[in-house]
Amino acid sequence: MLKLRPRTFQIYWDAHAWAGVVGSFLLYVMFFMGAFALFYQELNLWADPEGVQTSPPARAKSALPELQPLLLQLDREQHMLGKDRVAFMPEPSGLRAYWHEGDEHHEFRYAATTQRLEPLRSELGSFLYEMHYLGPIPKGIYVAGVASMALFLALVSGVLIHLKDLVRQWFVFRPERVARTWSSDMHKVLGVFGLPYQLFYAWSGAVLCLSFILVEPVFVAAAFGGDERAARAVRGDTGNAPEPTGVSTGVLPDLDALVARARREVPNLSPHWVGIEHVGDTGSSVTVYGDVPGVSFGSADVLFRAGDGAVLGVNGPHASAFTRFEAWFYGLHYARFGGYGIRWLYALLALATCAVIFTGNLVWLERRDSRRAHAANRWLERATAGWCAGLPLATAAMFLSNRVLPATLAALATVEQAVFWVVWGSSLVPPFVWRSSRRVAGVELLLASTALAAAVGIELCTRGHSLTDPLQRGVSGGLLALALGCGAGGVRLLRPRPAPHRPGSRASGGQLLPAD
Amino acid sequence: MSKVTQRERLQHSTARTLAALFGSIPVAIAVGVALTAVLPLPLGPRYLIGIYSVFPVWTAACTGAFLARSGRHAWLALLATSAGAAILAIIGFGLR
Repeated sequence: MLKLRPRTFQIYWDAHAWAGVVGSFLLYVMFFMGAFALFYQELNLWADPEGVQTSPPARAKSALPELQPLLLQLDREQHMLGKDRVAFMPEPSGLRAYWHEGDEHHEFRYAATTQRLEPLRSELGSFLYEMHYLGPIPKGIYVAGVASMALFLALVSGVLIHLKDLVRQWFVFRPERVARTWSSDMHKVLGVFGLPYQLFYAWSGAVLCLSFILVEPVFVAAAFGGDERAARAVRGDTGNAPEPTGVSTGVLPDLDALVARARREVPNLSPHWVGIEHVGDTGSSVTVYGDVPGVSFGSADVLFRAGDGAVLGVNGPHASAFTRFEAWFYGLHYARFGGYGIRWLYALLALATCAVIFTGNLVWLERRDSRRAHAANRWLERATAGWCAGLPLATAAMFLSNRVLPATLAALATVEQAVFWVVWGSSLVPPFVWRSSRRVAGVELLLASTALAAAVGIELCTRGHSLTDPLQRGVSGGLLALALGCGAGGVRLLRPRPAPHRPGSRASGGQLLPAD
Repeated sequence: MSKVTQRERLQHSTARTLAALFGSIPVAIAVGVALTAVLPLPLGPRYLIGIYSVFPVWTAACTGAFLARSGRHAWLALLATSAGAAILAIIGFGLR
């Protein structure tokens, strides 16, 4: 295998270490939350007080009810005319809807029992999904894009420095050896195992977060003379949504008729997003977007003028090479294939990547400053402990708060998110106060394990469909598995370590990686 | 080998790091646009390859720039590549 010259090797070693350590904190959040983002619809339903009371047959029936009565209900109660967007999302787990105007965003779910849209009280799943791309922080999506670029650089430089023995790294894991060795082994084994997954996510993450602001405007200007419509046409996007005029017609479109028309335009279309833009405006449009079974990552959309229902564009599953490539590219990113098996595998790889990131910081500390002589490295160790153990604890606290707080609480979503931020913020403090960041991380992981187990325990004791509903069973099973993982990690970190053997070493049991 | 000697051997510098991280962005975009301009394919596939190659090219340019002897060399190489790609793009679009 290719062996780099010593200077090249050392430069890439430094690039890998710096890119990794600088991006580590954000990437840890993105991958940890990515595991939840894969199941955000199921988590929303699990967390919603009304959702958990809905039996699976009633939920399946509610997947695509008639939309027009629901639109009229929203209009009666909240005046939809003038809203930027109203959208209905039929999902296997039930129907969701939202409206959006400026900064205001409200979500609803269809209650099969009342056949009405009810406000979504908990947004637990959606919040964890947004955290995946750092959505809740200002300009977070761009920060996530920069972190993805850092990951790309860390992965490529990591591959280059291990080119000489990449295959060997796949098999070398020595858990019985000293902590410095096993953590380095784990970093490399999980890194090599997950390399294709991580490389793809670095690339697709950078494209999703930054391409539309950094790359596409330059390409549209250079290749299409600034004509966005021409660029969209080349991409295979045949329809152009009309611009809002500010003149209201005062009329709502007939959504069920448009969905039926879309199904005639694209046979087998299974709609999962029906949205009205600029509701009631003379420039209002309706898009019906959905999957096309039988075509790999097959999706299609039909664009209508809302006023008269005229078809403005049809983008079928075979529209163009560009469309097909993007269907695959985003389909792979969002795990739109293979069902739950692939989503569990993705979630496992996401959590394994968290372990790669965590052990990467430990390798940095041990290789560069095993005695923690520098204040910056002492800070890094403590911050890594509080950040990485605190995030599972905060997430677990959010799940527990969802089950402990009264289901009728109007501000349930706000309180859950406040619990998340307060617990995570509080988790960062103890490693800087107590001497042993290792023990603090262990305790935080055990607390996370306990909170997750308690949330599942309450779920089993209080809800009717916990064991008979596959969705509730799946979410509870996943949370229990995570509780076990956190518990095992916590026990390992709290287990007493042998005294240091290295002559002259003053590493103590308080370090994340004592030189045992 | 002392850390100072090692650092001198590796020729680490802020200018080179900045060049690698930020100077490689215009290179990546210029190369992507040039691919869109010159590849012997219909416009759709050319546009597709150009736009999706930007981030891989950024990584390649970045790792390449880290090997430069100094910050000045890195910036010069990146500027030259950007200019070359831009000229290629202008010629490519001009001839179509």
